[in-house]
Amino acid sequence: MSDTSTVFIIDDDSSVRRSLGRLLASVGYDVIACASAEEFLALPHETGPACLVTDIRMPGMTGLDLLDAIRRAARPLPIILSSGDIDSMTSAAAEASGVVRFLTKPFTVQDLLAAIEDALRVSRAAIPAPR
Amino acid sequence: MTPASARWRPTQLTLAAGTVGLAYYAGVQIAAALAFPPVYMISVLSPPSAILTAAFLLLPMRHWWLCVAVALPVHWLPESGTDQPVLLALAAFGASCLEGLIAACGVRLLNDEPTKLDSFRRVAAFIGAAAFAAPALSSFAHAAVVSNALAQPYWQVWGLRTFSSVLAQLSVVPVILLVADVVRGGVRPASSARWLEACLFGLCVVVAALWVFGEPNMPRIPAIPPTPSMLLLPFYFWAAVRFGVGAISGALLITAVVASYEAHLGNRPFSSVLAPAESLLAIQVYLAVMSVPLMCVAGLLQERRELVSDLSARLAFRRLLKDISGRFVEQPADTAFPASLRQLGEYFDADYVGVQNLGDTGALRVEWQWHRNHGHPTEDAHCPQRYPWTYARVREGQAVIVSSIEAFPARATLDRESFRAARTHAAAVLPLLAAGRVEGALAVVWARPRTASWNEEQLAFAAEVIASALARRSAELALQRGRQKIAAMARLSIMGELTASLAHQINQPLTGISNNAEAGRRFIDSGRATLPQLREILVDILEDNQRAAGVIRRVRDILGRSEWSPRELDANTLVQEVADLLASDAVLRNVSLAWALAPGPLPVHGNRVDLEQVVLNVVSNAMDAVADKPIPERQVTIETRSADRDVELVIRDRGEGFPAGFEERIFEPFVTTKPHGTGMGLAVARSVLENHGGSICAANHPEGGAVVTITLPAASRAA
Repeated sequence: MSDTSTVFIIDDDSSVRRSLGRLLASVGYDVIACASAEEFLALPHETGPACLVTDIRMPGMTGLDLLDAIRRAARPLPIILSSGDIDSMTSAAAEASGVVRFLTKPFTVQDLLAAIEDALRVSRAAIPAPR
Repeated sequence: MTPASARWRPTQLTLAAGTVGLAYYAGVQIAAALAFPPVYMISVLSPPSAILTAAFLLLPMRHWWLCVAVALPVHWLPESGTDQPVLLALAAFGASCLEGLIAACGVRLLNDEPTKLDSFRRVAAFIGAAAFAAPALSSFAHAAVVSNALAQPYWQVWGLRTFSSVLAQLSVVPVILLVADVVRGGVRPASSARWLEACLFGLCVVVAALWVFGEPNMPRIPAIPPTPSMLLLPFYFWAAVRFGVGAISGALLITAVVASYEAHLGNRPFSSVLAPAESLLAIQVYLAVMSVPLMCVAGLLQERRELVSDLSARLAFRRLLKDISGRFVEQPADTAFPASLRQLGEYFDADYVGVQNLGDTGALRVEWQWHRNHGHPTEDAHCPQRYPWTYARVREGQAVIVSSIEAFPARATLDRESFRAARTHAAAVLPLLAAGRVEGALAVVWARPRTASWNEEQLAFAAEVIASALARRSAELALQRGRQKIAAMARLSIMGELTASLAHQINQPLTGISNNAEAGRRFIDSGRATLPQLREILVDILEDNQRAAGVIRRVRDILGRSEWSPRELDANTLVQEVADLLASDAVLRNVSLAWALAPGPLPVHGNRVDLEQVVLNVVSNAMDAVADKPIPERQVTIETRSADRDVELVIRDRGEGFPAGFEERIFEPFVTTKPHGTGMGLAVARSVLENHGGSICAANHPEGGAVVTITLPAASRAA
């Protein structure tokens, strides 16, 4: 089941990006890592179950801007937001946009994996099972 | 201190009485030896009354009886050996005492310093009271007795007695006063040339007197009156011009002794024309008339000399004060104080000069000191703790000036002991007052007999200058402490503002470490792990660890207590360090932080932490200024460049710029353009830069936004 799921990662910090990719690969997901939201939006859309783990504050397009763009495109991609500091304003805005989970850095691996499993479950429910 | 007001100890009194006795005996002997035999019993020079006069002048009034008591038996000793009737001897003694009394009382009445003959007024008082009034008045009584007893003409006896006493007063009293002054150390040590001159002078006077009075048949200079006695005049002038009243008196004494001696032998300059008695009178009148005006001239000259030397001493002292206060303005305290103490020490010819500071704790601490190298006990011997009595008085604002151990009261045992142990000759400890409060003390110590001329007024002036320098320095120190506190507060507040960004900077590597470690564990568990892959993971973990440690180090550096420890720094490195610290904040706030660094190092001299703080402050202000702009306009650039002999750091933002007229004001404390600003950051920045000899200025850029320029002297110049 997990072998067909894709996890997108957006983080401007190369070290975080690399380590996250490595971790998710060790669990068995397909990992696609991007350095910015713009880079992610340029990618072809997912075909199977997928989710997105993104930092909120990034140079250029922020996590919240990206959230907006995805929602506007009606793309059914569950999103996990992570940040060093999530204040009440950002969390309220994000909640309104139907974000699956917030992770406050530094988060535990268990929290992250549980959030990803939740998100993928949402994704699978939204996408018709492949024939 | 005049001897009259001083307290005489028994040993001193005994010594004085012995001296009076001996002198009186010598005087009587001289008088007897020089007496005109056989009939007159009066000599050219009759010193006993003059000796009593000098004793009365030197001794306090309440001890005068002692002189009389000593003189009476002495008077009796030699005179009883002659056939003189008791009545005459008593009359002579009584007249001597009377003359001494009149002379001493008169001089004390007219002269503020009865033992000094250094001004016209004092010389005139002496001549009037001691040299003329006293002999004349006492001779009335004496002549009455003698003329009756020996059936002599009254006025002749009176005249002889009076003039021999006049000559004695003129020639003996000033000499004794001079000797007493030398013995007491009141006369400055003379150079060897001066001693030589004095000896030559004495020799010349002896030779001239012998020539004038002793050689009636000596070759006469043609056209000069029969008496060559005027040959003495040049030598008396010499004494008046070069030495003073004491020397004239000495010359007079020599001349009178020689004249009497020669007269004894029958050689009299006037003998060819005058009878013996008249010849004697002529010598006396001649000598008195010649010496009186010269003594007045000598008094005038002495007065003038003292005025001149006083004036030049005042000028020298003024120069000293000017030097010192100028130095305190121009130089930092740590060099100005030692140099000034040395100068003071040399001026006062002291052996130790120390400034003690009354710190916050109330304990006196030696702050600066200077001591001459004499193998003299060092600074430790002069520390305040050894002189509790002295410093207790100084703390109350009183000056303590002691020139002998007797100046300490008996209860000041420790002070006395320390004074004795340090072999101190004299010491002055003066309170340093600022705004009426004792801030510290100035101690000046002499380990040798005093040679330089100084007075308490000068010491007080010196203390005043030192006090104001000390007060200024403590104000500066307080200001510096205040600045450091404000700077620390400003640092904390800026760190507070950066908390989010700092948390992010540390969380990133922590997240990386945790992810990597977990991934590695899972690879191993699943059996898919390869060694190169594990190595890669470990390298990443180590790198993240370094990153986190670097952030913490930078924060600690910025918050670390800043002590003033200037070093040579590179302005480029400084900017780089700050940029590193702010990089993630810039990312978070979508501010583009660009820097254009001058090629090559830009050495400046300063305190790294303080300067980093300033740059951090200015750059973070610039980032605040652009925070509300659209993202493409959120630009801050930092430029470093070398300008003339300065180094410039130019921080430019594309924000709104300063409101008109704010460019200067923003460096004032509590002035801010930010809604929640403290208004301290730039004020601190300015004071830090001024401490570094640099400056900071703000302006609006013509293309919009603000430009802040930090200028620091390049290190080669600062050094």
